[in-house]
Amino acid sequence: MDIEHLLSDAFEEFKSMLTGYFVSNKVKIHDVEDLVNDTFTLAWKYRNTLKDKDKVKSWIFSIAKNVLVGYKREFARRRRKEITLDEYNEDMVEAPMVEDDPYDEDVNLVLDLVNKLPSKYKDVFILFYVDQKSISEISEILGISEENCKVRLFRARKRMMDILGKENEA
Amino acid sequence: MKHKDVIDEIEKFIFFGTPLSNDAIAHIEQCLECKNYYEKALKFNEGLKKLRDVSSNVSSKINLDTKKIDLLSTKKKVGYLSFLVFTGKIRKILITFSIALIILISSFLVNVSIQDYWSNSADEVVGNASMIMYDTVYSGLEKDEVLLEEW
Repeated sequence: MDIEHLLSDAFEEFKSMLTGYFVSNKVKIHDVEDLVNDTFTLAWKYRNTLKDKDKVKSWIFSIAKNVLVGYKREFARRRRKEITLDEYNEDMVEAPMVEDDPYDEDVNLVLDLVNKLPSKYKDVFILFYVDQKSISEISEILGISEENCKVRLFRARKRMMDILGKENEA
Repeated sequence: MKHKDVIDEIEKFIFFGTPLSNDAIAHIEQCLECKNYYEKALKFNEGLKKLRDVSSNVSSKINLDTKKIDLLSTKKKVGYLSFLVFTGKIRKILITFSIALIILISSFLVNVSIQDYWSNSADEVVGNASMIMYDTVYSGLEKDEVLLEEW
C-alpha cells in the first residue's frame, strides 16, 4: 500500500487519538479540529520523508507533538502581547490554555493532574486512559518497547497518586 | 485494615476498576483522611470518564480539511503548481528570470537614451554649420569661396 492510501485510511483511525491527545493537553475545543487537520496536512506534505511505512503511527504522533508545541508557543506569544510588561509573569505563560472553560470541576481536576506529569509519562497516560489504547499500540505509537511502556505507565500512575495525595493533605 | 492498604485499594479502584473490599469501605467511613482521598479519587474517576466523552464528541465532529490536502495533491496539477510557485524551486527560477529581464530592459533603455543623446548633438552641429554657411553666403563673399570652404 502506498503512503497516500495509508494516510487516507489512517485519518479516521488517528483523528480520535489525536483529539484525545490535544484535549488532554488543554487545547481550546474550537482549536482541536485545526490542530488535527494541521497534523494531517503536514503528514501529507512530508509523506515522502517517511522511510519505514510500519512506523506511520509513531511518525504522525511525533508530528502532532510538534504541532502542539507550535500551538503552545503561539498561545504564549499572544498572551505576552496582551499583557503589559509590568504585569508580565512567567507563570502566566504556563497557565491553562482553556480560556472559555467548557469543562466541569471533575474534568479540570484530571486535566490539572495530567498536565503536572512529565511529558514522557503524560503521553503514555493519555494514550492509555483517555484514548484507551493497548500497551502494544502505545509502544508502537511512541516507538518504545512494551516493557518501557509499562514502566512509564506505572510511574505515571504513581506520580499521579502522589500529587493527588499531596493535594489531599494540603 | 492498615491505612496504606486502603490507599492501595483506592488506587486499584481508580486505575483498574477493582471494587473496594468491605474492610476498606469500613476504614474509609472511620478515617477522615482516607475519606477525603477516596472522594477525590471518585472525582478523578468521574473526570476521566467525562474527558473520554468530551474527546469522542469532539472527534466525531472533526472532518478532514480536504482543501489543504487537495492543494498538495498531485492530482490537482494547477493547485500543486501554484503551491510550488510560493514554496519551491519555481519561485527561485521566477525571481532569477525577472531579475535578468529587469537588467536586459534597463540596459536596452540606457542604450537607446545614449544613442538619442548623441544623434541630437549631431543634428545640432549640422544645424549650426548650415547657419554659418548661410550667413557666409549672404555676407558678400564670392560663391566660389563659399564652395571652396564647403570643400
